[in-house]
Amino acid sequence: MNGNRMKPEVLYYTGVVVVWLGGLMLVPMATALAFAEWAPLVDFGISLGLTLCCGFGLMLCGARSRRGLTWTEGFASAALSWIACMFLAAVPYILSGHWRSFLDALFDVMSGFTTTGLVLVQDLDHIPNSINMWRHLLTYVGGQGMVVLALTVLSKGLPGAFKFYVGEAKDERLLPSVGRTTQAIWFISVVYLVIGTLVLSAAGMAIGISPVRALLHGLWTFMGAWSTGGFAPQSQNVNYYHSALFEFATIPFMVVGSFNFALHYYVWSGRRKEILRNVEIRAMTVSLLILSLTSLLPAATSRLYSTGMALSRRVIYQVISAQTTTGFGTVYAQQIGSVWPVLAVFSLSLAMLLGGSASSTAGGFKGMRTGLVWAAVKREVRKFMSPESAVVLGKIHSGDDVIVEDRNVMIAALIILLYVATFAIGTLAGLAFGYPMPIAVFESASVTGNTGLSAGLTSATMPATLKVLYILIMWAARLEFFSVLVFMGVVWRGLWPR
Amino acid sequence: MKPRNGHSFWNVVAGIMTETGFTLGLTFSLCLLAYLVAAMTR
Repeated sequence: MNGNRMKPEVLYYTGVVVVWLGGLMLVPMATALAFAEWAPLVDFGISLGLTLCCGFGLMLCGARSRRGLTWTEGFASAALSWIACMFLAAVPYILSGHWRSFLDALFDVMSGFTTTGLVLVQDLDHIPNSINMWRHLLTYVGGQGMVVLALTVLSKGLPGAFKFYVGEAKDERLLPSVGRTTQAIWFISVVYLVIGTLVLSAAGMAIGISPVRALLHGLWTFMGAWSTGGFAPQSQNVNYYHSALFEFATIPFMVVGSFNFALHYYVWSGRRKEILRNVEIRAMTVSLLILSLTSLLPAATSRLYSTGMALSRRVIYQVISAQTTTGFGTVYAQQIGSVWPVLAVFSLSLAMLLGGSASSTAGGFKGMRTGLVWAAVKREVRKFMSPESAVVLGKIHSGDDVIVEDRNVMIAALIILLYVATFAIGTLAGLAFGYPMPIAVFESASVTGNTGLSAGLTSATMPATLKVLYILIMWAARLEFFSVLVFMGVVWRGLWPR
Repeated sequence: MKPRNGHSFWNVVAGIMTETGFTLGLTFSLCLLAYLVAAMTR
């Protein structure tokens, strides 16, 4: 690292997050015990030992900050935590023998952590319950954020914790302290976890799944929906159930999972009209209506689906799944790539790029940014139409009415630009490896928006270079670029001046 | 930016019902759109 060493605070706080990851491994271990899965139990035991050794090792090599984290340290710690966790969380995967290579295991872990949902696992329909629990737990925790998990109890003794928190692309402070904010996020998530598991388990039992299996499928499907991750316990994803009831039961959890945690907080605090006034909800609603129409029309006129029910279950479901960046699918991946009209494929791609809300589990540009940029455009048009002496202000509503400021618009536009550039790189890479344009566009939008819908490109047999590129895109897009860019800057020049 | 009422049990219940109601309304509207498109293109 340019002759310099990584700053001790970065190592210490990365170590703390890694130790938390080790703690999470107790959940699949308990699952393995409950279902008498002895080989996975040993795998998780080995992984837990390795993770704790690495975590405590990093903490010993580093040092706790007395003066508080700087922005550089906070951002670099968040980015490094995700990389360290990716390698360690992949250990149980590779020990299980269900992934063809360590790269495939890393891909699936990053896909889970970033709530993308693309998978390279082999024989998903027959993997142990404990491994399935680990897959879904990773995506559930990844949705809230690894750093959020660690800060839930850590932040009291950590001055500057907010910078660590922001480093993970969550910038809403619901309550005055970061600790209470992260606790509020977990409270909201756990309440929905209980409700979602009950609803989806009941739906599972209603379609004839045995109670224990329905409970597991309900829990895992909820985790995939709420985290907007899109993981499911079966290889055919939600299509496996062949049930309109089950499919529609997942929709509310996908949608609320894509809401800003601040919006949940306001609505749960009695400010219920907020849901109709919020700029992100309005942006998502408009986008859903327009992109549904541009997907429905070609699908209907091409006679791909001719009934209202078929269009609802296939087209509307995919559009909602894409816009919320969940990635649950009710059509086969190859169907999207080979049978769906190009306009519908591009509409889904745009939905994946636009994404859900800021400070949620969703990916994409986020409604806050598109709403902000749109408000700035409206303001500029009104300026041109007003007398020169007039003061024209733009505003958006998010909690309160907020005046549109040029600096905020610039940052929003910059992040959107980075998303577009990343999407372009992903598309060009797909084209370079010989995939057709609609498939390259769709898959790139899916990884850039952390969505997980596939047009058939993503598989264990795809080129290794593309797997590595997709891992990097998922990571950078989930952390909204700045943490990753800061981390790269830190690695490039080192933190200590010569 | 503080909540007006705070997190009482009933506020949480009403909040969840509001979010669910909004989501179901949105889904219903989109499905209605699908039925309209199906009818128009038949």
